[in-house]
Amino acid sequence: VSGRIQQLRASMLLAGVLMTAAASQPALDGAEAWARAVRAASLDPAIASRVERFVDGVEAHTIAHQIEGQPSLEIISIAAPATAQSLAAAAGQSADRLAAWLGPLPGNRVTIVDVPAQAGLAGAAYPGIAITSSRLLTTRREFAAERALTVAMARQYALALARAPQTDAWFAEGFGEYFATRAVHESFEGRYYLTLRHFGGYVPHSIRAIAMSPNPLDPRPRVARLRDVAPPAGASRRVAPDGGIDRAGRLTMALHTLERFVGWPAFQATLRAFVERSAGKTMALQDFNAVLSEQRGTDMSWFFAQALRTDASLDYAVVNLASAAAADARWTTIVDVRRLGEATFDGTAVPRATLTSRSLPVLVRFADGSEITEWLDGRDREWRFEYSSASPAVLASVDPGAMLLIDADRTNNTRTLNPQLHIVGLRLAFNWLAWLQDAMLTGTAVL
Amino acid sequence: MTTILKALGGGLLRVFTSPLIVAAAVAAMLLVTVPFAAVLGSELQEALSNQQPISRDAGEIDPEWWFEYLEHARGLGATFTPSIIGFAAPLGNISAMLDGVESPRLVMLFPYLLAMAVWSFLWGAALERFAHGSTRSGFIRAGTTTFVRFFIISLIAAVVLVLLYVSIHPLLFGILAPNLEGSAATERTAFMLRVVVYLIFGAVLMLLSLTADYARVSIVTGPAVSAIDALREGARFVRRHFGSAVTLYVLTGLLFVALLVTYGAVEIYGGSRVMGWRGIAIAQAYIVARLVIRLTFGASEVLLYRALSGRVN
Repeated sequence: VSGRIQQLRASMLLAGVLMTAAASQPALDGAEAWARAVRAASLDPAIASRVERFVDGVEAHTIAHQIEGQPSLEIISIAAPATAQSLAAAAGQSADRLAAWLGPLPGNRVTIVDVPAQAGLAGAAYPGIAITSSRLLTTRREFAAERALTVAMARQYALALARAPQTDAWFAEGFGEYFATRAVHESFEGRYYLTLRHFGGYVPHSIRAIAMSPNPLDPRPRVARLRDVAPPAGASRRVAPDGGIDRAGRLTMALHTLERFVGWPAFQATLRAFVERSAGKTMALQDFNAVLSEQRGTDMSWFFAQALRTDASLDYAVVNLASAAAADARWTTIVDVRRLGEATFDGTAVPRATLTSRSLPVLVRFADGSEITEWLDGRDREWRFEYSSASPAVLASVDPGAMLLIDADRTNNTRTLNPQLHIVGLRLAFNWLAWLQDAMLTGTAVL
Repeated sequence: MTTILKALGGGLLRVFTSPLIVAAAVAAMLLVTVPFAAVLGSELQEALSNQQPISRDAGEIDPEWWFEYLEHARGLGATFTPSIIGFAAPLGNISAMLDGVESPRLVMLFPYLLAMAVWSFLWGAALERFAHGSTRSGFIRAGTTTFVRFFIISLIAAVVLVLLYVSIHPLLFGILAPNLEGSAATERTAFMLRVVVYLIFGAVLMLLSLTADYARVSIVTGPAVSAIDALREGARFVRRHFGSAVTLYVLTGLLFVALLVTYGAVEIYGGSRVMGWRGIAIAQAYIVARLVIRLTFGASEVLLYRALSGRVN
């Protein structure tokens, strides 16, 4: 943790030095800087015009951002003086983080533009362009503009995958959402709290009880689909605006699952190798599969073949947990696990008839604290486990580590017997009580 | 203005000197909401117990679990969103009412109808007390005497409200507001324009509320016999004394705004000291204060009606 803090301090110090250097450079005209960025990105005139009216009369500043061992990144900031410095610093920090994961930012130049929120472009990314919105009202725990900028910076890598026209742009979209979600969690770890926006989205309220980006040492999964990361269907800022939303979403979840399956260090190495190989090319799923399989030393096509199925869901469930006293002062426990969907988590590319895989764990915990872990071949349909034990079972869980984020319903993965009272649940129920009272009073206020 | 301020002050005084009415309102709200909370609480306990056993001892709220739960929640569980926590609840409820973005789910229809029924009874007892003191009839008798007529008034108002949401609301917030906001050069201007649209819709809601309120007052103070007569009388009074009725309503509404600001400030500046059980106690204190203000609306309107229509019975 202290290493992370030092790294953050160093980045901020560097950003501060660069900002000072930038301040001494003459300012450019915002409209001219925007026109240049539009030309470089070959941006659609309709989209360009949505930004144009907001950059007129705004100053632009160029900052040379140094990243150790990599070519200098040119950040052109088109923003009001009050926000220009903090946004450029946020862009620099995002660039540092992403470069450490994936290599240099494509193009080595990015124009960051701050437009009013009603433009609906916060988080939009086009080749070499990252758009954000500094909010009129915000909270100390929201980081709205910085998060949108982080999203747009992360999507630069996905845009590079889809630069040439291609039919499977959903692939780049899925990667864009994955990169952006991960970048937001890492960049705002421990600082970003769930912030709801009310009254047309103008009034924010951060809920201090809900940390959205917890410490990565916490083994629980982080929120995989952040609302402000996945643009709405049909949004021009999607890499694949015309369709493939379902597949893009599935790919995003599949990538989060892969990260938990193989572990971040190994998965990061795979991502980096993939991004490096994609330079100047249009990439598709089979290219990523090739890199992943090479890195893992085994064919991983089984994973994508099932995880991206749109015709079937992947859903494993514990459908029965029963523990009864037996005659000899022992307990007999029966656990039934079932695959409810047609999609499978195979664990291997070798056919079922040839090889049994150990793709999914099932954990059974007993009252005396002892545990048994069984392994399933995810291609089978039903499993039954029977135990004779000194104490009764209290819990059975398939995929107990929550690795399989593509599971359509993880609320049925676990069953417990005689569970303890959850204080958090009690508190939440009391909160809901107050909410219901208020909702009744508000709903009938004018009646 | 003196009459209005007297009505407001007198209304507040009557509410504060009627602790049994306030207690009855608090008890009634608890009585109708606790069963729902018990059902949801039991669902939550089950869902939390059936979480995947990964760091499940962690005390804080796990947003990933919450969103996964919401994705599969049905019925009352679907209303269990993060906006139930603390100050987010009133903020979210008022915002949802004005924006109309979260149309009341079908599952909320029964709680709303229940609230209408409970308040039809409570208003009968409360307005009788505010108008005539505790001498004329008892609490239960006063509530039951006017219950049917008050419930009809609420039902008619509810129908009008639905009509407003399917006619005026889409025009204001589906067409006018987006166009105005889209044409604004800055977010500040866009926000101000939206506030103007809120004021327009809020004014329409206020007229509906005033008509229903004075309809109830006219039944308790005498002239109206049926619910329809009462609504006519309520509309007539509001039309004839428009400035006074609106001013009193706005002034009492400001008390509610002050309450919201206080609640928000306590939560924002209280930090971690006002979370957990303390936060729940504060939320209940807010509900009690809100009930006091709601009763003040009724009490002050009784006094204004009497002062301006000259009725004393």
